[in-house]
Amino acid sequence: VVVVGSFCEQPPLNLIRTIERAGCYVVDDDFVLGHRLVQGDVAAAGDPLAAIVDAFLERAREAAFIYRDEGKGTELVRRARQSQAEGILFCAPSFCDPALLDQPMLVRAVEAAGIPHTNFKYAENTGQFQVIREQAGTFADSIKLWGAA
Amino acid sequence: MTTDVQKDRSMEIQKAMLAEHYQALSTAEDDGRHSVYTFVPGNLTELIRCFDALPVLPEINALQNAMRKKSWGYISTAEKLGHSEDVCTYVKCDIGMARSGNVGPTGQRLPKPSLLLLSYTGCFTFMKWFELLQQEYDCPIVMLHVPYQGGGQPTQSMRDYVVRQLEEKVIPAFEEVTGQRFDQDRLSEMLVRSREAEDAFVKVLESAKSTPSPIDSYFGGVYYIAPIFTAFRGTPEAVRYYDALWEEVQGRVARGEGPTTPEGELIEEKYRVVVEGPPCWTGFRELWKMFYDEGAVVVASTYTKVGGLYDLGFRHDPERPLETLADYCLGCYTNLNLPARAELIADYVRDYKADGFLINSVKSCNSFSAGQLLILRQVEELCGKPGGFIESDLVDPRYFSPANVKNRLESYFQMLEQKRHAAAKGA
Repeated sequence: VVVVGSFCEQPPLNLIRTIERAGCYVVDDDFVLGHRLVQGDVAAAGDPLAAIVDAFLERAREAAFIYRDEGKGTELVRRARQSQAEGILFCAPSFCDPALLDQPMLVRAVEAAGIPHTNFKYAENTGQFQVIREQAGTFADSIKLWGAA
Repeated sequence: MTTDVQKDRSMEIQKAMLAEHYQALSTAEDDGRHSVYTFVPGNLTELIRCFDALPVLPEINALQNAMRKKSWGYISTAEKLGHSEDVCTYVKCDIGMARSGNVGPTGQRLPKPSLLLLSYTGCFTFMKWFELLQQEYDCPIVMLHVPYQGGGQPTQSMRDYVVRQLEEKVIPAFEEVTGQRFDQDRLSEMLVRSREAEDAFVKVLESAKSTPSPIDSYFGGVYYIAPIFTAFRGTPEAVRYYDALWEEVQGRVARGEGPTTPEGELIEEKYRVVVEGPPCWTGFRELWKMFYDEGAVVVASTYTKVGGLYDLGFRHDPERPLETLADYCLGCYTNLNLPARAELIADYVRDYKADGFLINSVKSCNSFSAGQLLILRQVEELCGKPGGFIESDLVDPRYFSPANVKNRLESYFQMLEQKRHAAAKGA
């Protein structure tokens, strides 16, 4: 699965463990998004400031805080296909408006592409992931049941 | 007190202004008029009207829907579309309304936006809100990025940055959408009227320094801000409204009267308080009653500064039209950093001789609620007056619990009373 949640930081490790223990193997994600925003290397030649600006403006990956000309969710669908993910888990932190308001737009793109998905929220300050484990497990079962395997 | 809802003359004037505006919006597409959706903080109403376009303020539609008990249905629609319970309820109310035929709070259809003017001022959610609306309407969008006052003051480079965006992005977008050339002289004429209205508006706000206060600066204040914060700044109608309002308030001061509440004049002012945070629109009347039943008058509020801090001296300057629009956007309340907000509240408590201050923390507004507990402690330290904390929401009725809020408010006012007795004994 691809795990998506506009994670500015590292989500709780137990959240990732919970998803994996529920039968999902995470093949792509947007954890620690700020550090992984720019795709590729910043150009070493020429004006260094212009190179940094260019990297952020032109080669940033899809994120909740960027308006792009290509349709919302296009990159997510591409990533899911490249990584041969069988489903997408939307798992945004509660009260994170950027992630949560982005989600319906991403879901629309994912549904149009026919990729199975489910979504849940988690709270940054809790260690209770039982409900998420059940939901992710049910999602994994449904992929096994209805998928090609 | 009488049981009929009491309204001042200025409220009737404003009601007619709003009715006329919504009527114009309902026929805008047939009349060939353009409409520009934008937000209250950092709104560029004069610029919009300079191109003969009509402003549409989504937050205003959301709160008006809440006051008419329509917001829950729209929020429910948005949640069925996949929006989370946790996000800004203004957004969900607006998305739900758009998906329900875009019929506005007055029951009249709103036009599709000719342009989305995203003034990004102190609220990240605005950016996502208009991204969603762009998907709904497939219309042009232009962004005006307003730097946050992280250092507590706007700088010249911030001002230049905003002006450059106006010149290079915003005005060309208006010209393309409307087919009209930008007329700076016309903009300046409107800014002259903005300044006139702002002068009168500030006199009204500062009248609350009188004892008893002739106005309530929160529950009454939201009516007073409506024309200047929304679609009317820069118009002759706004000037007439604020002149009438100021005349009305002067009369109340001369007669030694308190504010008008929905149940008539408040006879005895027992407590003077400052309020931080937006109102709960779904329980607006109920919350107001909890205050005036206790004889509590809000003498200053921060919510009435989200569309500009005019009482700190800002006025639109027709001599430097674009720079003044930049200064206006930079100075809106939610664009201030937390220490500046705490100092402002403490100043209000002192300047308006308040007994204390209350924070209404709304669940769904991060730009207001983040940091409010810190502000509470800071303001208490700065002014030495007690603060209280209540919780509700903007337009989602699920998060307004009247019994709990009433209990909290009664306890707070009793505490003020006890402190007053103790101080009198000590003296």
